[in-house]
Amino acid sequence: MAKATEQWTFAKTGIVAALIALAAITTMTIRIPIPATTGYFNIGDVFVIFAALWLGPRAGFLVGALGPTIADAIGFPVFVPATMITKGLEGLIVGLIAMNAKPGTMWLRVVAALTGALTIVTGYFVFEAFIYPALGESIPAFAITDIGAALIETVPNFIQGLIGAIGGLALWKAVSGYEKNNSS
Amino acid sequence: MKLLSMTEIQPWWLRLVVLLVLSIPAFSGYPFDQVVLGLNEAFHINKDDAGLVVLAIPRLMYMALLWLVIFSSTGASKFQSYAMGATLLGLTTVIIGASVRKLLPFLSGGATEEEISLRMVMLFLNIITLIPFSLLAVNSFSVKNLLTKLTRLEGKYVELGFHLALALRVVQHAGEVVFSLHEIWREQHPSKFLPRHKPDWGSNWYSKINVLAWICHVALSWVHATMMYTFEPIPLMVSEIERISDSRE
Repeated sequence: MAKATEQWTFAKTGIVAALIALAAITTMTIRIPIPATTGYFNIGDVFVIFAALWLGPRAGFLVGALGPTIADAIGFPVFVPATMITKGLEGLIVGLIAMNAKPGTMWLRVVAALTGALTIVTGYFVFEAFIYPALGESIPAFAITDIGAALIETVPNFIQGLIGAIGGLALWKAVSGYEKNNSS
Repeated sequence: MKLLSMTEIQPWWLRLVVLLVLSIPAFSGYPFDQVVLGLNEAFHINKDDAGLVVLAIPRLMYMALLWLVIFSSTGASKFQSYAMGATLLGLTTVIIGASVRKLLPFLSGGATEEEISLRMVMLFLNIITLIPFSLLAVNSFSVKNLLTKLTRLEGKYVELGFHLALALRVVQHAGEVVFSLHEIWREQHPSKFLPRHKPDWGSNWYSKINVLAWICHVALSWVHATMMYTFEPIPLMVSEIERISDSRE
């Protein structure tokens, strides 16, 4: 598995760009609008967590901060700042925890993926309950949520994070199995 | 037939400016509110009584403008493919959104049916306008030209330029994969496109109500196919960029 200290190669750029595109595409294509906050449920986190587990914190941050943000820009532009910071942090935190895991072991990666899921819930709650209402006082476009709506959205966000964690771990398991078979 | 290709706008930064100017209404909301106010004044409509049609008019005008730009730049065939994919995504999203309002009312946060209908119509118009436009924007820049320019340059940022060129090429490819998949599935795998084309459709009493299993199967197949075709040419793209980058040194 790649570590953050490894040199950034063209191959890594290619894979990260593909994961950014896939995160954006899956966020856009399978989305369920949540009327309370005008946000939506999606499965783009699968690729954010997968990128962080596979390629480390820098790749996780890039995929998280860019992929879902591109998708938000199409249809939900007001969520761009919240998504860029929350999902960027998600990828970074998952990658930082997972890079300490021993090759092939699972449990620390499970902890990392679940921490990523909690980062989404916490990040969006902070933005929707406190930051957006505060910004909404000077910029009306941000006045779309309040603490009640933010509380409602913690449920779909938690499910979204959990699906992202399970999907990301499944993809990592598939790739690490493939790498192991091809290196032996 | 292409009437005016976006790539013909030179130099590249002017093209970027044109694309940014065209995208301003989508991100700022300007001048949608001003058009609505103008329509209200022209037809003597009270601001609070402005209905769905009045609110949708500026967004429909914006959609018509961007579709005209996309059509003239990409030609009929590609425009049709982009519009079909975007409409499919838009319809799926808003139908699911409206269903969520009915099935899980606590997620609506107290919004009325009219408010949610309005949000869903605006969301649909946003999606069918901006997905084709973002594809046009990504495909408006030639990786080949960028690489040609990079080979003539020197300095510490040239390496970064090669990485960005590779990323742009991969993203352009991924965008094409998604919209090609729609067409391929519609033509060659209709059972993955509409449940009524399933081989067991109507063969037993539960085949028609077992749509949830079909949705899960299609979603997984779609994600799998998108990943496979997106990653497939990356080794080739990487080795090409590596070769060009090495030839400079």
